[in-house]
Amino acid sequence: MEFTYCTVALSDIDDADRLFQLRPVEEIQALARSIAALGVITPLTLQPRPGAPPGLFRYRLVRGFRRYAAAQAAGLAEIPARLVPAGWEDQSVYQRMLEERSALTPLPPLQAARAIATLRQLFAEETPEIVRTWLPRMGLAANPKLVALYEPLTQLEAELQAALAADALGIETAGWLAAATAAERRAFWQLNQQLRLGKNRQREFWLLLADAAALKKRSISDLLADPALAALLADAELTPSQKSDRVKNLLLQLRYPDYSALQARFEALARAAKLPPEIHLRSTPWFAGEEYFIDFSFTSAEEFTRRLEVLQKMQEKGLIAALAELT
Amino acid sequence: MSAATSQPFLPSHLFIEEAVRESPWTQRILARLPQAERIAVPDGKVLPADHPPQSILLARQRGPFLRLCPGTSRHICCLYHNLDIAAGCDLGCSYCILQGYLNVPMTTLYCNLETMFAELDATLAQHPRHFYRIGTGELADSLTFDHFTAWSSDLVGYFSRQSNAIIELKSKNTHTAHFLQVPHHRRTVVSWSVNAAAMITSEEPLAPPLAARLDAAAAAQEAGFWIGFHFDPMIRHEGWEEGYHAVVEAIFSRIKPENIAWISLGALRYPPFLDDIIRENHPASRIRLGELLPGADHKLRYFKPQRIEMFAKMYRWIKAHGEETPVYLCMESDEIWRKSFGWSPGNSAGLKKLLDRRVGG
Repeated sequence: MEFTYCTVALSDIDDADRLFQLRPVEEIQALARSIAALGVITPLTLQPRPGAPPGLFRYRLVRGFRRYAAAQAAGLAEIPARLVPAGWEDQSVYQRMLEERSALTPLPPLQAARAIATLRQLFAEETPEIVRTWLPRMGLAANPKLVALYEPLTQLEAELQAALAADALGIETAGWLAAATAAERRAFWQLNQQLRLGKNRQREFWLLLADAAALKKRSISDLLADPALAALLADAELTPSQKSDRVKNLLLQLRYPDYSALQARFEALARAAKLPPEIHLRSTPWFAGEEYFIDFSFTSAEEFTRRLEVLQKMQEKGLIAALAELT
Repeated sequence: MSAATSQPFLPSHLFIEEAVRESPWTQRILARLPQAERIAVPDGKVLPADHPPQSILLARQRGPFLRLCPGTSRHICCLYHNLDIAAGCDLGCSYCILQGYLNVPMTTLYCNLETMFAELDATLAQHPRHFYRIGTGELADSLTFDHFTAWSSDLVGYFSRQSNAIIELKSKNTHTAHFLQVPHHRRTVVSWSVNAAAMITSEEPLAPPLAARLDAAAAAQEAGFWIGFHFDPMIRHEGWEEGYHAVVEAIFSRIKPENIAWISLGALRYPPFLDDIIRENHPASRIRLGELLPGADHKLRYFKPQRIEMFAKMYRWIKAHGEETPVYLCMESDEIWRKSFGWSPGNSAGLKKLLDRRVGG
């Protein structure tokens, strides 16, 4: 059985049947202009409905939802089409559609999520079969973790799905968001918008929040409603980058309270030393070791002497002993 | 062993590599597991991806059996030797490094033990003045498959004849009955990994409870074996002080200090990649929520003052039962030793000497 090529009336295509649609139709103006000028270059793929009585649609859309919408917008009455062999069952058409779509690149996560949902709901496929045979048809590895990760993505709000499709939301974070409550998703996404987080920071902040929430036995939305955080986010003097750093500090205090307390004591001692910018005092990362490091710059013998005098004063004020006591 | 069913683990499928098909160690396992389905495979590296979860591979150890513990840079190591006779475990503890460490397709038992004994003979003879502490509990629980391998009996017998080595069988399990009557000449330490009761329940749900481990330890003591205990990993949790103190008291109520070879302490630590694995494999576990921070070796460990507090208290509780029992830290720095115990072996060689002396090295 071969595909056949023909021209069909747009009015013969069932606009409401979206079984084969994997992504929403967005932004068709440019395509509509192109179609108005040049016509439809690539035919739609349609599944005939043999014996459809008069008055009912004769075709179901398989591929080309954007072209179809753009052709409508351009005022076309007819469109070139490639017809699936009439004897093919829906599942065979679905398989072919997935294989064509993933021939060059794997199906993106959201499209894979929609395909998995269709396979379950309409074709009653179970997880092992989806993993073994259908994921490879989508250009994906036969890995059960992918089903677990992708499947909940259809639960995300449209805004989050759009962010994921636009690569403005990391897939891992999207998976965690899908497993969270709607209130938590909203609160986190609002924070994300205010701080303009990149994907790595989204992940970092979500993990800090999730762990802090688990520690405090509160919800993430509850943590994000904290007045100190709200005040920080409302501070018009701060840039998003500065806000991000401060929010992260607040989250670190929740997640690592003992470490944060020690860090605060260290910073207090460093402030008491009144070190000039040319002298830099630091501890080992996370206070994992017991050493402290001081480095300083100088350009002359006089400057060198002045730096040493500052350090000597630190010793006289008992700050060195206090530092040693800290860790 | 499954605490829920009190039934020891029995594999459903045995994949048998051609190279070990005729090995007596393989044949022993086959005789003891008549119910397991047997699948011959030419090479254990090429196995079906969707094998049943309770499968075991009987394979040839291609590398050396005996390896010096790799240790961790800038940390004091006891210079232990690992004897890799198995890789993998059925207990599924939430914190287990094996979840992200092993590169074998399934739990594997290395059945070319004749090669292992030859390797041990050669190594021990080549360095007669060097004392070896050797253990089988690094890549597997030493006893968890012993109810159908009984390999520990062979090891106990072999080491009873050695003058410069001792074997440690490190386990959470209780499959000891088959070797208690084997002459051992105190060249075997049977040791148990122990934890606070709440952590055994939540993080080691498939392992026998503490009481069962202590019963097994008491039986091994009765048979004259050295006994060891490993509080590793210690996990900070609500009530951790009472929890761990109770375990110390329970140990000393059953085991005499003169029979305890050593007690080790190690706080929860793992490489960062294990954090994701624990989150995924054990979503209900709260162990990740401790103040685990990267150290000089990049592993996550409890914030230093917290570790010092844990080790110092444990040291005090253990030493309250007498000075005799050696207590050591696993993979900690000289600083942590000093601040926790008030002294330090100084370096890895110092710690090795201390432990060797305890067991007659």
